[in-house]
Parts: sequence; structure tokens; C-alpha cells
Amino acid sequence: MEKNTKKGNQVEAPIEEELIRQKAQEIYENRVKNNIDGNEKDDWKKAEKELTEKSNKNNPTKIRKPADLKAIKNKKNADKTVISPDDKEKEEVKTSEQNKTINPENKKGVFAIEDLLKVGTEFKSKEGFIFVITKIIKPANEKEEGKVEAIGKDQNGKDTLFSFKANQLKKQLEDGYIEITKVSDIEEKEETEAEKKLRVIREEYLKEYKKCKNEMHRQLAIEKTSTKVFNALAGIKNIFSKKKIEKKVFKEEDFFTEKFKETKERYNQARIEMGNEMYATRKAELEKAGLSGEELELALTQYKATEILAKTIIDERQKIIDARGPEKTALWKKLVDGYMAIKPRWKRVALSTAIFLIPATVGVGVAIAGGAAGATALAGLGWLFTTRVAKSLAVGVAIGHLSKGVDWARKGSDSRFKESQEMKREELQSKFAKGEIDQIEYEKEIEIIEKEDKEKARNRTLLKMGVGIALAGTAGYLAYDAFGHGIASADSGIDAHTGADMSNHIPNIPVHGSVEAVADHGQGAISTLRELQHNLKIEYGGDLDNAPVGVKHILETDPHKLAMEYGMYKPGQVDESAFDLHSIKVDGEGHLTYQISGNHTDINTDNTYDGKMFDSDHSGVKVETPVQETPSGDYSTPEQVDPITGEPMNIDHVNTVPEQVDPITGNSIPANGIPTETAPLQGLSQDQLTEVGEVSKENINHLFPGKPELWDKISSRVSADRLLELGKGGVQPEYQPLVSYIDHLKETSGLEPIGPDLTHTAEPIPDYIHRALEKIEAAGKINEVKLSGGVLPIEHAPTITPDHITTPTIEPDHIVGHEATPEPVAPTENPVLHTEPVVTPEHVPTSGVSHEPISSNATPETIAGGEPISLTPDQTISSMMIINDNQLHIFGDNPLSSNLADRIGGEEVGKFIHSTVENSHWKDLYSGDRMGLDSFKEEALKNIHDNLSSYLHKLESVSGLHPQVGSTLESSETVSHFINRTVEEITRHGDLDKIKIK
Amino acid sequence: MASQAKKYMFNEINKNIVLTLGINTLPVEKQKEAMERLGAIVYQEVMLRVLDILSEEDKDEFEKLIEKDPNPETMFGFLSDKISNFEEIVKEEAEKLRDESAEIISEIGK
Repeated sequence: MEKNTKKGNQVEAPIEEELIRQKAQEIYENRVKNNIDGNEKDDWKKAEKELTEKSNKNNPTKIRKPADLKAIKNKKNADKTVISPDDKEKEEVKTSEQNKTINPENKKGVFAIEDLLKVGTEFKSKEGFIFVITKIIKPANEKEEGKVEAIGKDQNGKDTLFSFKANQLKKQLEDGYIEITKVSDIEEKEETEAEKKLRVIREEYLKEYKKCKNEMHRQLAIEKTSTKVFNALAGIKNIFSKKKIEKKVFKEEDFFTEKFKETKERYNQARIEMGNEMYATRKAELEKAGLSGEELELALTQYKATEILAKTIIDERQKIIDARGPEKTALWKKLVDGYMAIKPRWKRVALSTAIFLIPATVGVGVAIAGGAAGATALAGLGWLFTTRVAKSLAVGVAIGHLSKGVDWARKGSDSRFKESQEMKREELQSKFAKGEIDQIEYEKEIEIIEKEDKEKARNRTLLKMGVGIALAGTAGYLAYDAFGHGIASADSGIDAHTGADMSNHIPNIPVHGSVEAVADHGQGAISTLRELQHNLKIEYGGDLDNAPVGVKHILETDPHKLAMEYGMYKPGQVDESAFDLHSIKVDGEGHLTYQISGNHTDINTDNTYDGKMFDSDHSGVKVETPVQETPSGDYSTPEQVDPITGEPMNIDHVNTVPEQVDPITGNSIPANGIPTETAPLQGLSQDQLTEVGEVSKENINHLFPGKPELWDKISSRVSADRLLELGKGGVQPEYQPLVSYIDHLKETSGLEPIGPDLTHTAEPIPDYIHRALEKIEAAGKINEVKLSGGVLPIEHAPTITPDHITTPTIEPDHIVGHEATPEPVAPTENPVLHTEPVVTPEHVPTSGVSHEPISSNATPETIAGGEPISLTPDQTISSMMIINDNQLHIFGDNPLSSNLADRIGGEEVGKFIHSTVENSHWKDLYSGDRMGLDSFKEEALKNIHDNLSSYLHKLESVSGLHPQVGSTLESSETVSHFINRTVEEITRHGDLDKIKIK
Repeated sequence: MASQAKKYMFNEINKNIVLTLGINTLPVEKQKEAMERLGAIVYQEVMLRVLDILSEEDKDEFEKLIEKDPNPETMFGFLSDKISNFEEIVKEEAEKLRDESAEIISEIGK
């Protein structure tokens, strides 16, 4: 048996202890090896008890010689031992590449556990779990114990924050039950004077606080007893009235002494001093880094809002809360842990924000009234979710959350659009903050931006799984809004921590990505180019100032001409149309490329289309261009002189058709080529064509007053004949006037919209309007189809009487809305100004088809991209939450879930529902290394598939809506669109609970 | 209270505290972090007060409830039922933290 030997503070362990430890170690190892059973556990406890007794007896000091203990415990794997002494008085920790170790072979070393117990140190429990110290909590006063917080895995392998009493932890380390496996390399900073002062005053403050609190508890106890006695007596004396004394309400403030208040004042002052110290240090650093002026000011403001706020307010408050020992029960721990475990995170953030910002003066009743997001149980907090602020916060947070874990792939242009929208908001907020605009004006403007967001989000996410995210996108950009209307917010460009100028990363001019149109329904080059124009309009909005030249050119040029320019349409040839065009794309710099089906290489159009051409009209003859070729050579026309100006005329204008005007935009179209897929009406004069263009443009403006986006949306997506077909079943109210207009053009012109055949796409609405108007103009009936200021205001029936119909060709029945308005309003000179185009289904009979008003109960068929009746903000949030929660349930937390969801979201819902994991389509869906989906286990995929299928069926049954089947013109409905559509419908009916996945 | 007035009041509170603390200058993610931490402090303060008020029986019931269903809706619903002035407590604690934060932060870097 060895005897204790001392060397400085070192204490050698007695041999009995070693034996006990060996025994304990054997038991432990055996236990681990064979799993725990009761007897071994008892043995372990017994050995542990003996060990503790021995240890207490032989080792009264805190300083131990863990090297020896470790050596004993880790005999079998000495190389893993972690503590390394040397011959110095105080042990020096050696640094290996990763770990600081203490050499077990050298028993002379002494190691002070306190030196190693610091943030970043890693230790291993006896069960083999690894913990990393995250926080050292020093005792607030002499009576209290210090604590150590460490993060480690719980039994389920989940990262969890554990709290240890510092002394117990030290003891276990000293005794070798647990071992340090890595010593922090983090150098703990010396406590500054301000910090030290704050610590001391904090202790005083807590001491006084507890005195006050104890007094309150004492009074409370007295009061409780008194109340009981009094009530008992009252009950006896007056058994009928049972009158009891009112419960006295105790507030801790009532027990605050003058000394406490004075201490609190000093405590706050100490916090300010520490904050100022931090501020000054930071300022010096930033100035040294070259910051000055507004940049410096902003960086410091951000530093205050992060580091200083955290240190002087949040951490201090937390220390005070942590130090209130008596209240800390198991229940307390559950409450705190439960709160921090609220998932998803956005919910916790939203709740936190609601709690922190809850106004102090709003009544409970009012507060409860909101109850959005199914959070009525939140009592007064519920109403917060009904405001724009809370909405934008909650949704913005959702974006943040999803962008991390389940980012449903919002890409490219969305972020740029977002930046642009945020700039608009910031400008508005700034104006509001400066008082340049009032709140009403501010909110009005914000609503416009929201609409733009919504429009954008909807358009861009049709192929995305996260339609809920689309809603989130709508308001997610308003995250700044969450903190109040009119509060300027800015991403300064200066990193709050480093002070680095990040402004270069925040482009002021939006950068645009590639925009593509795919000929996925067999459409030709012209239609595809038109679609490309539409997509470009969405991408660039109205901002063409910074658009590349190529983009401007495409947007400003008729698609027919573009098709000719790119060699995709050659009207002078028998095989006049591009045959196997797959897609056309414009990159961010305006370069246009195309792809031929089966060839995935982009082809630059510098060389024009060189793919196969075909005879699209099966005419077997050349399609003559309507533009006369300019004669050349001997037959060229002599120089022409303008008879009015006497100036030479441009040769291009000679012997060509007069200048033509785009019927929709009113823009002048170069006359050297306006081929159309349908034969243009010949013989109209320039004036007539100009009038056609003007009427067409004005009518469209009249049909969609102030909402050109509605026209943009439908004009390139739905053909004229399809629109009329849809009109039979009822369309969105805002499109009903257009249906009536087209119908009226058909009646007046006698021309039918051209439908699709095997080789042609159907006639687009603008083309049909153009063609019909030309015919009507040629027939001298153009006034009959003028909607604004003319005789036939389509959607303003109240201002029209049959008397205004100037020709017998228009029957009163064709006046849309006439029958629906029992009392026609007297005509005015300008009927457009007379009434607002509030159009409801009841007001708009489907002219020419049926005069029955559309039932308000009928589910209106949504025109592609059309927007059903808007949900309220509450409903929007609720539906978004359900969609997101359900998606999380279905797809789980796999980081690749977003990829998978993205992929499935673009699938046709009908096909998906009927697929199985085993069939080839499903396998194809999941294949592809580039998606990284191979990491999903087959079982997981099957579960996802089954759950999603069940979910889609559920949506179908609850909503009563079925997946929309595609046609030649329109693709079938995608999974994401179906989810969006059905959940919106379900939300309207208040049935969200029925689809929530538990 | 008219909804416009409610909004205005809420805005004013947000405006004052968020501007004072400088949170509006932060990137969105940082704003969220700040609100998350501040809200968590208010929550803990509220719970400390609540535990002072609840009877032992109520505490037991509460503990069982949150073990079974740890949703905040459940927690707040229970506390609203048991503590008549629960909402007032939340408001008071929120206001205390807002006032304290504003008082201290506004004095820093003057």
C-alpha cells in the first residue's frame, strides 16, 4: 500500500482508494458491456459510496492529483488519457494538435480542475457521453453554488443543454468518474473593471431583492392564513351569505425598500457603465479600421442592438432570473425547457415578439378578439397575430425558418425582387418615420407592395411545393414591418461584429437571372416568344431602365418579328415554322439562347435558329409575308418626297403598308413585317389600323382599370377559344368582362377564335382581338365595340341603357350586366368615371352563353394564374401555418427535404397520387445524384410518398376540389398548385382543423 | 377600440422600443434573434410570477398538462383560466423590460 505523499498542493491517492476505483471501474465496464442490470447497479452504487467516503476522508482539499486517478482508470487505454502534467509547480497543459493532455505516466503532476473548467472544455461522462461547456455561472453570493452549463446529447441523441453544479462536476472530474477529453483553447478574458463592478453590485442587488421578496412571501403567508381563518369564521357566523374576504393581491414592487431601490439604481448605472465601456472599445476598433461618419454611427448602433443589448440587458436579466433559487422547481425547468423547445422556431420567435411587444394598455377583451392562427388560447396575445405587423413577422420568420431547414427552393430572381421590394418599403418607412406621410397613406402604399409581392410569389411558385411559402413570400419580405409601420430599417452594409463594409454585397440595382419559356405544350416559336415576353415582364416589372439591351429589344418587339429575326419563322417558305423547338431563354445579360428538343445544349441565337422547319399550316405553299418586299435594282422605287414637308422619305416607308400599331400596346410596329399566324385583314388604311389599335388598347384599359397585371396574366396564358369555354362555367369576376368582350367581338365580327389542332396552338386572345377588330373596322362597326366613351361599356351596365346601342346588330341581351341591374342609371358623358367597376358574379351574366347569374355558391373555375377570392390576413397565416406544418410532418427534417419537395411539387398531382414508390415514375422522381436524394433511405421515401398521397387525398375530400386535368393548352395541375388551391378553399370554409396532420 | 387605433398603439410601442434599441438597423435574422431573446426573458419573468401565484394543486395540474401537451397555446390557456390577471402580468413584465432596456440602452454611447 502506498502512502500519501505531498508535493505542494498535490495529494497522492491511497491504495485502498485505487482498489475501490479499480473495482468501480470493473463494475462500470462490465455494466456497459452487458447492459445494466439491477445487481450490478447496486454494486456500483455500493462501490461509489465507499469511494466517496474514502475520498472525503482522505482528500479534504479541492486540489487533487487526477493524473494518478486517471492513470488508474485508464490503464487499458493510456493513450487516450487526457491530463498531462510536467515538473513545474503548477501543472502546465500541453497542447497536442487537438487536445491538451496530461500524461498519465507522469504521476508527479498536479492539475487544478478549476483551470480546465471553462467555456469550450469538453468532457466525457461515465456513460460515454461527450459534453462541451457552454457557460460558467459564478455564484451570485456566498451561499449559492456556481454552475456549469454544458451541451451534450441526451438519451435520444439530441443536443441538449445540461446544468451541473460546479462543485459536483469538479468532484467527479477529480475522482475520475468523468474525464476531460479536450481543454478549451479559448482564453478567458480578464474581467474588466466595469464588469467587476457590475458583478459586485449585482450581488448586492440580488441580496436586497431577495430580502424584499422574502418579506413579500412572509406577508403572503400571513395573509393566506388570515384569510383562511377569517373565511372560516365568516362561514360560521353567516352561513347564508358565505361572504368571504377578497384575496389581497401582492405585488413585489410593494415590498421594495428604499435600499433596494437605491441598489437597483446603482446596478443599472453599472450596466450603463459597462455598456459605455464596450461602446468606447468598439468605437475605437471601428475607427481604427477606417470607419467614420454615418458608417461608423450605423455600425455602432448595430453593435448596441446586438452585443451591448445582449450583455447589459438580456444576460443580466438572465443572471437575475437564474439567481432566484427558491422559485426554481422541476416545474420551472419544464416551463423553460418547454419554451425553448417550441418548434418550429418561427413560432417561438413570433411568440417572443408578441410577448415583448404586447402593449400595456390594450384591454383583455380586445386582445382576445383576434385569435388568429388558431391561437385564441394565447389569451391576449392572440390579437397581435391579426395585425399586419404580426402577420409580416410571423410569415417573415417562417421564411427564415424554412430557408434553413426546409427551404423550398426560392431562387434567383425571387431574392432580387425581394431586395427591390424591400427598398421600396424602406423608403416608405423612412418617409413615415420622418412624418412625410401619415399612417393611412403608409398602409395604403404597403398594401400595394404586398399585392406586388403576392403576384410575384404566386407566379413564381406555381411549380414549387411550398405554396404556403408563396404566401410567406408575400409577407415575408415585410419582416421589417414586423417591428412597426414607419420604422426605417436597413441592412447597413456594415457588419456589426467585424465592422467590415459589406455594402458591395447589397446591390442597389437588381441583378436579374435567366428567364425561360418552354414550349412544353407543342406551341410554336411565336407563342413561346410571347410567353418569354410575359415572363420577362414579370422578372423585370416595369423597370426597364437597367434592363440589358437584349431584354429591352425582346420586350419591345412583336413576337412575330422576333421569330423571324431568330430564324424561327420564315413566312416566305413552305416549311415556315421551327419544328422541334424546346425552349427559349434569356440570360441576365440579355443574351438569347434556345434549345432544340432532345438536345440539352443551349444554342446562341447569334447564329439564328438552324433547327428543323416544317409546314405548320400544311398548305404546301409559301406563306406570303404581308409585307411587300422593297424592290431593288432596276426596279427600285425612285426617291420619294414627302408631299407636305418636301423632305426625302425613308425608303422603308415606300411601297410598304402604312405604319401599324400594336392593337394591345398601341406601340408603333415597324411595317416591314407583321406576319401573323392567321391571315391579316388586308385593305385597311393607316387611320383605320390606328383606330383599331387605339380601340383595342382603350378597351383593355377599360376592362382592367388600374390592373394591367390581370391582362398581362391572362393574355399570354389562355387562348381566346379557351377563355370563351371557361366563361361558360364561370370565371373569376375580374375576368368576366373580358369573356363578355370576346364574346361580343365574336358576335359582331362573325369570326370564331381559332382553336388548336395537331400542329397549331390556339389563337391567343390579343391576336383574336386584333383580327376581330380589324374585321369590325372594315365593316364600319368599330363604334359598336368601343367600351370606353363609346356605346358599349361592357362592365358598366348601370350607366348604359339600350338607347345607347346605335346599331341593331347589338341586342340588349348582349349588354353585359344589363339584366342584372334592375334600375339602369342615366347615361353620362363619361360612363367610365361614373361607376367603379365592382363586378361580382351576380352582376355579370355570361353574355351570349347564358343569362343566368353565376351562383355565388358555385366554385369559380380559376383561370390559369387567376386569384380566387382573397383570404383575410388571419386566414392567410392560418393556411400558411397548416401547409408548412403539414409539409414538415410529411418530409421531416432531412436537409435535403427541400430538394425532394421541390421536385415533387412540380409533379402533376394526378400522376403523383396514382404512383407508387415501386413504379418507374416514382423511382425516376427520386433518382438523380445532383439532387442528393440518394441519401434518402427507401423506407423514408416510401413513408413520404404514402403520407403525401394520403394528404393529397385528404385535401381533395375536404375541399371537394379535384386535380385539374390538363389540355393541349394547359398543363395538368401540379402538386404544389393543388395544395395551394385546396388549402385556400378549405380555409374559406373554416375546415383547416380537418387537414392538420397530428 | 377601433382596429385603426389598436394598430396605431401597437405601432407606437414598436416604434419607440425598436428604434431606441436600434433593432430596426439589424438584418432580419438578427432582429429575430434579438426578439427571441427578449421575449424569452419576459416569458421567464412571467412564469416566475405565475409560480408565485398558483396554488400547489394548480402547479401539479399545470405540470401534468405541459408534460402532456407542451404547446404554448395550452400553457397560456391554462394560465389565463387560473389567473384572472394573467394578461396584465404579461403586459407588466413586457413593459418593465421595455422600459429598463430603453432606459439603459439610450444612455449608452451618448
